[in-house]
Amino acid sequence: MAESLLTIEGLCVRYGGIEAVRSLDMEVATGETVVIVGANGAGKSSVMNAVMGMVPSVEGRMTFDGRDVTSMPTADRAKLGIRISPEGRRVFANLTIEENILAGGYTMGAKDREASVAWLFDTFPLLSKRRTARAGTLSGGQQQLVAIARALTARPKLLLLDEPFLGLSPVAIGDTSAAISVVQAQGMAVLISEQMARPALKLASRGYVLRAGALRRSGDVAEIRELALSEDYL
Amino acid sequence: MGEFLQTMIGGLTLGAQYALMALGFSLAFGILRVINFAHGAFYVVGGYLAYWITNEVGLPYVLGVIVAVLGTAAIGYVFELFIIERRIDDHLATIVMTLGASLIGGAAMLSLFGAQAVQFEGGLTGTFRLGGVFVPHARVMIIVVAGLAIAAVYLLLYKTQVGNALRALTDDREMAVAMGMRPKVLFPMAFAIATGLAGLTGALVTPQFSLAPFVGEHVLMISFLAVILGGLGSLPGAVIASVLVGLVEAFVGTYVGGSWAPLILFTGILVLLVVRPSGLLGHRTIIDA
Amino acid sequence: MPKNSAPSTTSTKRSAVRRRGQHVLLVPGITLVLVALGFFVPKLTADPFLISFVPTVLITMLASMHVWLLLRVNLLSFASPPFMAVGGYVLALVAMNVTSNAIVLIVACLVVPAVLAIPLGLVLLRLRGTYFALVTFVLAQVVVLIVVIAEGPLGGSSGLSGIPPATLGATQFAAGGELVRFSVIVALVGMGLAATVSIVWRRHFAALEENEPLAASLGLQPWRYKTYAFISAAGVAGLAGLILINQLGNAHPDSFAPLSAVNHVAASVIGGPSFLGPALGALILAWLVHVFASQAQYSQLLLGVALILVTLFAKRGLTGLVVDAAKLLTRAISRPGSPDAEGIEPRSAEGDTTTRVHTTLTRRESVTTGDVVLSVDALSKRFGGVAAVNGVSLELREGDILGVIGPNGAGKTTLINMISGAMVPSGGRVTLAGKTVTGSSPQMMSRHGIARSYQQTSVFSSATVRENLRRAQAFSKRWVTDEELDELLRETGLDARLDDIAGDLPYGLQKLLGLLLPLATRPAVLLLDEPAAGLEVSERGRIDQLVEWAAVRGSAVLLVEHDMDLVRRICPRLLVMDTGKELAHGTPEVVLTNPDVITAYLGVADDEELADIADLIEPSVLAEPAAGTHREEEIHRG
Repeated sequence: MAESLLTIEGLCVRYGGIEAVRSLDMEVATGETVVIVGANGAGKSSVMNAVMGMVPSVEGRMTFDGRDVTSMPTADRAKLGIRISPEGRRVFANLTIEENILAGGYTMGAKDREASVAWLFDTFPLLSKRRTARAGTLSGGQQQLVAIARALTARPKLLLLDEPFLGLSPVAIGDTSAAISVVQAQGMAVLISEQMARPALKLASRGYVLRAGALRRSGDVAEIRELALSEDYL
Repeated sequence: MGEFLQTMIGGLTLGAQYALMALGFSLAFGILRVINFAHGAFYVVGGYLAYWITNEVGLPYVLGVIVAVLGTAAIGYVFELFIIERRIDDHLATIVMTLGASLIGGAAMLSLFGAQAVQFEGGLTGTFRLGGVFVPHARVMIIVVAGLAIAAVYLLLYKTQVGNALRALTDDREMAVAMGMRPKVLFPMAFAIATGLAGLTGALVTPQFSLAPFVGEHVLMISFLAVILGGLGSLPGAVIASVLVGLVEAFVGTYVGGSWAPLILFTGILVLLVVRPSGLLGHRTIIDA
Repeated sequence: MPKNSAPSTTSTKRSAVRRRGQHVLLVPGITLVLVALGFFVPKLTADPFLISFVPTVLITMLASMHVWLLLRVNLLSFASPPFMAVGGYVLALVAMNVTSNAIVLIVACLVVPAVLAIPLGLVLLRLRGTYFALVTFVLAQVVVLIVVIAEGPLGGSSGLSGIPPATLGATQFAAGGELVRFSVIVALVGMGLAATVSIVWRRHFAALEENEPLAASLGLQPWRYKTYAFISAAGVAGLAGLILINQLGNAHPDSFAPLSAVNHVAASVIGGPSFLGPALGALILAWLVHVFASQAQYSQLLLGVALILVTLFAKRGLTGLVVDAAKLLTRAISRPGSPDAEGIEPRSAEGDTTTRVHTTLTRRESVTTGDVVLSVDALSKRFGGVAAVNGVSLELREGDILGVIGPNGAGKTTLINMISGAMVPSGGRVTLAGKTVTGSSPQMMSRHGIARSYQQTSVFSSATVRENLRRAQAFSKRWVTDEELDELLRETGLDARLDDIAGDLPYGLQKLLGLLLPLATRPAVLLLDEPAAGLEVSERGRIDQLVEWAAVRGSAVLLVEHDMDLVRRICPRLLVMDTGKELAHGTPEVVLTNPDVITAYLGVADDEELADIADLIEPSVLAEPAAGTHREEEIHRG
């Protein structure tokens, strides 16, 4: 395995009296795509938010790119090169598509940012066409692309995709998958949390299955696919 | 016809002043969602700072204006960072705390300069003629500055990365932080710009009107009208509403009688709230569904 | 449910959860006695300081009471000066032109502002909190301007002078002890009114302040109680104006400066939400003003600092600090153990899997006869460019249970929000027992018999469990019998926690209380939004019982849930939603093996995978624990 980019050891996340994640170990290597699958309420989003620093991790240790980030504030993690496309997309509704993408590059120099935006509009002509549209007026699939593009502007080392297929039509899932492939081609590491395991597994090399906040199994995508995934859901 | 033209020009200049008065208030409201009841106090403090530099220290008026802007901005920065920021999500709490700040500001000016209005002589004097109407130079300067300030705020918000970040923070603070933005840096800065604008307005306008510890109330009232009429957090809406208020005041003053204008405006607000709850240009409703 | 539990607990509970009403007349009664005493006490005071100080404190107290009353319904009002002006000028006009009879004056100064508040409230109370504050501030300016304009009747900017003092028989309330006496009487009337209002509607006000959406979903009409608060607050401020003008002997617009509202807000905030808050705040304010009479800037400075400090560090004001200090003292004296410790302890979502779940129930048959209670026709909701729900139709009969499942973001909660009135649909129709109710407010939906629970816990968390139930009962038009309530309390395990503060309960019990409140309103239609989410497996069995309980009594239940075991156990019929649309509809066995449904959850698969999945999803396989992992197999065995 390549050099480890993100290492999580014994992560616990609690809020509102519920233990959302229990002593989880996980690893993402540089340039690798890893998927976390599991049903609703399995704790996938809690893991993603903990990596971004948006929920405090109660216990455990987290290192990113050789640095201990366990108690690092969110904005500092962003600066180190972690970006998230959150569950429910959460685009800046009153900003245009272009402004959303620019906002993603807040930590960059003006020149790099411009170059990055140009590259993104090149890669996603769909967004380029409507660059002055307010993001709140877009369809769910378009908003998902905006959320991913926004997370890409700063060319992060690790991209977190929290439920990228949530609420999307099959066509939009295809578009989103294509966008994720573009990211992989750039050599970025991607951590995807997804209930919809099949399209997510197609993109990943390794996977973790969560249930009720605990790790149920992990391994190569092929191994996970062979096991009956559906029993974790239905 | 002459009277109409005179009223028109009077209303527009008044409206421009009002737009300048309301600008900082609507900026703080639009970005931080804070109703700054101390806006009028910052206006007064700005006026007194300029007065002090110009009339008591004896330095040039321009310097007085600069000190007023920087001084009020610095106070605003500290106030946001250490006080407002701690309860930024609680609207009632921020209202009460800015009320407290306004009392403190008023009390400070009262003990430093007394309750009586001071004779603030500064800025430009003289008038010129425009189409048969006499226009004081100072008024023109205020209009020019108002236009520049509005343009600057617009450019800041819509054409710079910082402005983009500020608007992103307003939309979804948590996501903005996940993009590396730091509200503890950006919000005090935005509030400082807003209070600095109040100080600038005070330094420019008080020589024209009057300067006493309690003249801020009128400024606050104008700002309220602009924000309610213009619509929630809409900067263009606030500017247009300010000009409208100036025009209504001028025309009602000429053709009906001075004190009727606020009454007509308030009735207008009540009607507007019934007919179009989002204000003139706002796209979000200010009424619970 | 057999009635075999200890009768003693039943009766205490009944008396505890019911029993209200006899206190309602207490406060007006006490007020009346006090007012009467006020007239007959021979001599109040001759102290010159008190003669000017007491009316001043009382004026500020009543004006702060105006702010206080509206803060109880989460509104910040700067309208104390305008309503004081109305009261003051009513006094002037009546005393000069009609009569100076004290009783007539008190009634007039109370009623006229209150009546004026009705049309104003109709417009202003629709505004969100911050805008309400802004508009009341503008109102304060406008009233002063009206006075200035009305030179004829109101004397314009020079005011009205020579107002005769209030009289009663031969007594003139003009100066000295008689002035104090009159001021105290008026203040008693005002405080009596405020006390009556805030006690009679304490549940409504507290619920509005704490959790308006929940209160509305239980049938409380927010605008109605906000209007009551606004009207009585206007009357109380009118009385403040009465004392003021009677004391001054002349009415002048300067006496009602809009900015004086800041003092009233300050007194109210500094005093705190206790009923005595405004009195304490007014006393402090008046004392400050008195001490710094010649240097007003210092009292203003202290007030400003106090406002900021109280907001930052003492949210419940000075009276709150006193209460906290008293609590600390009593705790230090009695030193009990810490009974709440286990409530704070976080618990895992899955919890102890060895706890047995009682699943003695058999799944109900699908109801195909009987009247259709709820009919939803092509309901849609768009947010900007996103269609969250897109033409969903369904029907529910009496006693029916319909499970709604689907992946995250399928639009299930939005569907519940539209049926319960929390959101207005963009299209389609909701019919309840043949009556179209599309887009009604939550409180109207509740009145029609539609009740709901929330995904996150939603209770009145600062009140006890008992008080939560009393509030729900006070708001709802329908309610269970005492026996039924006892059953429900036992079923949820809340019977032992009736006197605990709801917010201190463990998560699971809070969630169950959130279910119990709508259930206890005996709804015709019960909408449950993920009732099992966040519950331990051992607690999930209670959901089965509660849903069954409601269905047996004729409620039609719509259950949104992700726990497939639970759904399989209790839903005879399932509706699967995906991307806002209906994907499948039928029995769990059929629906959950539907390839489209599996695809919605897992994404598009090739045929081979589909065949595998279809094999694996057989119930026999499901009951088998996967190797090397633990499952809550007890559910299937139980």
